[in-house]
Amino acid sequence: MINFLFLFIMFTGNEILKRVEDTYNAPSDRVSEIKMLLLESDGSKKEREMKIWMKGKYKKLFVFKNPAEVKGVGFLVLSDEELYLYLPAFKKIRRIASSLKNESFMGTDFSYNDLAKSEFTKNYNAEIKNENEKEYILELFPKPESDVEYSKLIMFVNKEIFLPDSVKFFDKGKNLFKIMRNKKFNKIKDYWVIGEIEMENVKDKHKTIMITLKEDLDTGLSDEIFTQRNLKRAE
Amino acid sequence: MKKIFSLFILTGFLYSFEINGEGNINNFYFIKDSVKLVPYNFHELQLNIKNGSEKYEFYSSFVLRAFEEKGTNLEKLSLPSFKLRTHLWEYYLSIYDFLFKNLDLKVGKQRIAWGKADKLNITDVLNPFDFQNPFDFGKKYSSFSFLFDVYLPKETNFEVTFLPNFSPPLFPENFNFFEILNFYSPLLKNVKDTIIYPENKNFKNSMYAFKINSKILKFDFSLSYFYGFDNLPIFKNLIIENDTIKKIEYFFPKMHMAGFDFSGELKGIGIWGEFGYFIPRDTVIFSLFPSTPDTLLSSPYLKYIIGFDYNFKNGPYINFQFNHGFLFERYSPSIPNTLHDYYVLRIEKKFLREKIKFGLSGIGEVLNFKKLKNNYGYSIIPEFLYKIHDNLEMKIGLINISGKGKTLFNSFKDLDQFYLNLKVSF
Repeated sequence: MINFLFLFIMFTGNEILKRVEDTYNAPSDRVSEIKMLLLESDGSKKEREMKIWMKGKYKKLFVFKNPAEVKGVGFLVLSDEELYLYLPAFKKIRRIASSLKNESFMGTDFSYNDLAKSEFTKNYNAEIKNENEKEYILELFPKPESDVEYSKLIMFVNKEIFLPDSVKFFDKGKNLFKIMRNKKFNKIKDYWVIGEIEMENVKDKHKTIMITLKEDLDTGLSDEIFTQRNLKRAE
Repeated sequence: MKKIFSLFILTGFLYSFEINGEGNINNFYFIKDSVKLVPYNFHELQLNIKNGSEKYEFYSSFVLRAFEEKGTNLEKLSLPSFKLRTHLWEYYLSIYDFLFKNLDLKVGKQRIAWGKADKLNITDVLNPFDFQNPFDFGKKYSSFSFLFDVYLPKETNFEVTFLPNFSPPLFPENFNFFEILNFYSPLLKNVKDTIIYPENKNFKNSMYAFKINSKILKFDFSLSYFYGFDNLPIFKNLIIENDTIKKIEYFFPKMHMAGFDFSGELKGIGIWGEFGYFIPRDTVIFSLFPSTPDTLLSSPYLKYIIGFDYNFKNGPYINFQFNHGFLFERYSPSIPNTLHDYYVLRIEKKFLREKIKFGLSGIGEVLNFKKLKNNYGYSIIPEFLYKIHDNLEMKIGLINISGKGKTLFNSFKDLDQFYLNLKVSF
């Protein structure tokens, strides 16, 4: 009923974007087990498995479970400028400079930033480009002070659940770079969450599919999870 | 029946552990005919097992190294062509929230990595060097220790480490590493040596260390202190008979080290620094000839390394470090230029989604810019890495070394080589 009423409310682009952000960040925390499929243009496939802990807008911890060569590699995000990588072979935590944040995350089509950032309104201004029965079509332009790698995003926002059905990413040369398709939505407790994401790199015809195998929300995660101490232990 | 039962128990026991590891095939091919060394090819199998819960973790790592050998006479031709060395590389038990909340205890043979520089960590003094691949600078072995780690508010933690015994470094298997390094006087080449180890029968020779890690203005930093033995042996005595050096005795001198390191970023550029102030406790006096006694170690000295890295968008990754005082250099007041300056550069570029990586590393040293022509040394290492499949990678590279004068790389300059490494993870 509430969603139905929203159909009659006129939103600005930034208001829709804020709602998307709020839907993304609605659970206070989440613990997910993820499978990533890396699909090469020649049809070959690689698998990655990891566990993700998230709390609030910033705090995230990623730990790889598979394959063996990256098992135990951990990635901790405390804020935009505080990213740490743990490499078990060296028994050492290394701070990552933000210049790395726009690079591919462990060979996937997601950048470190794609996985680390969930604050759209901090980084983008949105305008409604179009809309249809099912979706708002937003154009997102980076704010001058933001350090995102894209020149523009086109976001197709599902009117019913206020999560994007898909997002087109344009590089600094304003060429279409990547397309993200959210292929499955799950309702857990009262929250809508994304169950399967496909990220396609249009330039080199490579895809990464991220499938959520298990997800727990509002588990009461302690802040101690998001520490360097736990980054080593989570291995 | 007994055997089947034992196998059943063993299988069940191993099943409760997480097991992983890696295999490495390392081949080195010298380029110059003048090299007197045999290649130090060695192959390695590492097996790690782990078991634990939220309260504790047991970890053990076995390393088997096989060094290629060739029979030197007809009799030895019948011997196996590998010399095998087994190492219990690490075994430790971590107990979380030991005695009270936020106190962790890790006890056992373990690697405790100090320092925020890239690989060349001058404050990383708790564990001995592993020089079995002499060009893998900065690689360390493990030592038995008790590590108490107290976690305080504001991302601060305080570490206390107690190392009851001294652990010696691992030198290359088939040749005299000191001879290659040309560490000391040419007069000492080919002289028989004896190493005097610190006695480990009680706590008299125990070592200890403290470290506090924290954060200021989004910069991570740590302050550290270590009291213990230097990782590398140094002369203690020369036995001279009829004006000829018959024997050298080496020992491991004691030292204090106060360290400081930091890492953070400025405008997207990663920056770090590591400073170690070394205070030798043992004054080492040796003399090549009785009439000219020489003091090798006595004065405090500072070694440091500062660096930055940057990833260009879709471009190369660049990492530069300036190092004063290499990992195994020590200061001597009576010998000029004992701590050299090194300029270390690494450029990497990945292709095909990290399937292929080209790397170019270079280390340069200049003893005297005014007399550059005869006082320089460098090593350039182009490297190609190919990820054949998940868990399987191949690395080939070339180590080109050159130098003049009393530079470190001048002593290595005959060791130009190709190398090949194949690594499988499981």
